[in-house]
Amino acid sequence: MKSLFKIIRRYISSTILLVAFVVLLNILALTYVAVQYEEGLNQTEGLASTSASQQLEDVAAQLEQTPEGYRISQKGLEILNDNRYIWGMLLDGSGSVVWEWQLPEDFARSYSLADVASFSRWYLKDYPVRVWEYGDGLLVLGQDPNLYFRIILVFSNVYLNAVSQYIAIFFILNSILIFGLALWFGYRFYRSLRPLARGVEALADNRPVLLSEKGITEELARKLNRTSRILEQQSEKLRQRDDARTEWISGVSHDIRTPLALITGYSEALAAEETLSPENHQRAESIRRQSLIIRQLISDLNLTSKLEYNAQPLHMTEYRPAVLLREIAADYYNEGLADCYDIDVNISGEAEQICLTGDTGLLKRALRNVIGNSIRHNPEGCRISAVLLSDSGHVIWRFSDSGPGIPRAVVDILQNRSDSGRRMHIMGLRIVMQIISAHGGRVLFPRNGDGAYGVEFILPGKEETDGR
Amino acid sequence: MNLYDSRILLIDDNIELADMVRDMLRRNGYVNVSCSHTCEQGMRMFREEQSQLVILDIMLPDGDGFTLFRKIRDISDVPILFLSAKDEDNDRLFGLGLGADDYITKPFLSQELLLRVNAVLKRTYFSSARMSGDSLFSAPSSGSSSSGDPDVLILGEHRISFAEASVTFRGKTTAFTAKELQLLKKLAQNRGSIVTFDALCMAVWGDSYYGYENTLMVHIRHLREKIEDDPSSPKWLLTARGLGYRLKKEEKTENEKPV
Repeated sequence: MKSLFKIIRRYISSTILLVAFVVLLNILALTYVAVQYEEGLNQTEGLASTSASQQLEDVAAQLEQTPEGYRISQKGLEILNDNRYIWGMLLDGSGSVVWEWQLPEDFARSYSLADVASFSRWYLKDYPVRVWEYGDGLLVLGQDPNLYFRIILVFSNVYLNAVSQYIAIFFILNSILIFGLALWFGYRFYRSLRPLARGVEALADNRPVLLSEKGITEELARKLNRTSRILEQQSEKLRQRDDARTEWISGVSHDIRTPLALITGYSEALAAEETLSPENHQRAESIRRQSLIIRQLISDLNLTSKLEYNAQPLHMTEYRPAVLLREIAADYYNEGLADCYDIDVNISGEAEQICLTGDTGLLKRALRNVIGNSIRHNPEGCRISAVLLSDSGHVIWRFSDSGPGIPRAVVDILQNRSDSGRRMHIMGLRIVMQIISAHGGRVLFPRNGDGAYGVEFILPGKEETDGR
Repeated sequence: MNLYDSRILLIDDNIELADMVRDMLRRNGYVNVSCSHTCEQGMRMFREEQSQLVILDIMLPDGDGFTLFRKIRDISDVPILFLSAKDEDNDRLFGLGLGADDYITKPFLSQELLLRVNAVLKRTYFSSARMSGDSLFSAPSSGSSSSGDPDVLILGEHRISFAEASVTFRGKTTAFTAKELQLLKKLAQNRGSIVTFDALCMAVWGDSYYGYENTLMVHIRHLREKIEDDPSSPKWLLTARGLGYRLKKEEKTENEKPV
């Protein structure tokens, strides 16, 4: 869910950035348009470099008073035409027209103060006009009504003084609005994505997913649901295959057990027969020994297949590793361990007080496999060292013997560095690894001073807070 | 009654296996062993013969051993051992959970089956003589027997009486403390075998070894002072280094191995 929050946070910040960017872009565009307009206006008016007041002044300068009245020079006419004025007139102090140029016939030839006040602010017969003071009179120039629109803006000083505040409030309110909207859209987005995020998490945890296929996430939800169904079907098929394999092994081992019991029983009976020749006695003993090996193999095969496919239920109980180790070592002695073997158990003070949870039946099997290996592979006898210690919250079980140790080839196979395991009988150690792995631990194969490989289990510890 | 006279009924659908087990039991002294191969036949024979021990297979042609077990239990409390090719933990736990006296998985060692049959019969019919071990029962094959008081333990010249909680050595009697007696009893029950520190502490203090290391050592030292000729070089109560203690068997021929 954290990643979803991150997405929403980025979504909101990117929205704000986007809005800021758009606003800036608008300001730039507006400035550009304003500049372009000014230039365009000037171009429309003919002289890109002169302003309207300059034009009026220039026209006024071209007017001259003659005894016949006022007249305009040729240059003055050019200015008028260039700047798209369509008519012009000069009013004297009393409002009478003393000069005119293309003035429409229906126009009055005399204007009162009220007329002047009106057209100087608005229009004269729908013509936008510009006026210029000329001596006591007034130069009036008319423009095409289709080209210009006049607007008179009047602001109070109070309003103008408050403009900066209004702009600040405008920005603050807009920011709040933008942020609020971004948050709201973000939350809605988050809400619509939340089920999807949960679905993905469920898939990662190997749990089935069934999302509602509605709203903007409909298609994604449908795809997630389909993925979940496919995964479920696949894991079900895998489970069925694993179950079938485990059951098959279990069934075969069950079927072998009864005939094997007969082989073991009869070979025992034969081996005990006093009338048997030494040669036949030896043969009977060999059959008995081999049948016991088959029994062990069946048992190992069954257990390893169950551990491999998680079909072996773990009967978890509290136990003390030190107690378990002593018990196994004592069992070996009590079962009649030959004199040539010596099991040296060494338990650190710290390890003595550790209490763990585990399937003691399986753990005993692992311990017996390791110690049994040392005995089996050293027929001339050896000293087996079993050390139990605690390190950084972990419980370490270290086994080694004075013999040649585990062959390097076996270690390579067990550590997946070699795949020639098919020709080697390493089921016992494989079971040890599976059992330790089922308890959340791992198995290492450290070398001792002589370079011989031993076995080390590292189990996650749970220190008992026994205050004794 | 002799242990080996016990009437044993073997119910297994595999005729060959049933015969083999019967022969093996007979060879080892059990004279009253009979076989049946179906639930129905087994039930009938159980009623007729008033069997004292039943060895029962689980998969039978006309039913399963668990159901037959319940039927037998309805009418009798005789000990029943399951002998099955099913080695699943669940089957084992189910069988034992029903109240079976033991569960043996095929294939089995003859000695293993014999020991378990022996133990179940002793526990059920001869439990009062538990302390004395095998000596009370005469095996026809061996013919030898050495009788003894179950409350008495002889260690060379030391005569230990559990009933009186004392040891007598050359006419002088010394009393044991309660803990010393418990320790000695536990060791005597497992004579010849290593008893771990943990098993001893559990038997005496009902607790784990951790925290009792020194206490146990002190009690063992006191015990040696009472039962050994030379406590610093013990002859009977031996230390199994790193594991526990062992009360040496009486056999003179036993070759002690330092452990």
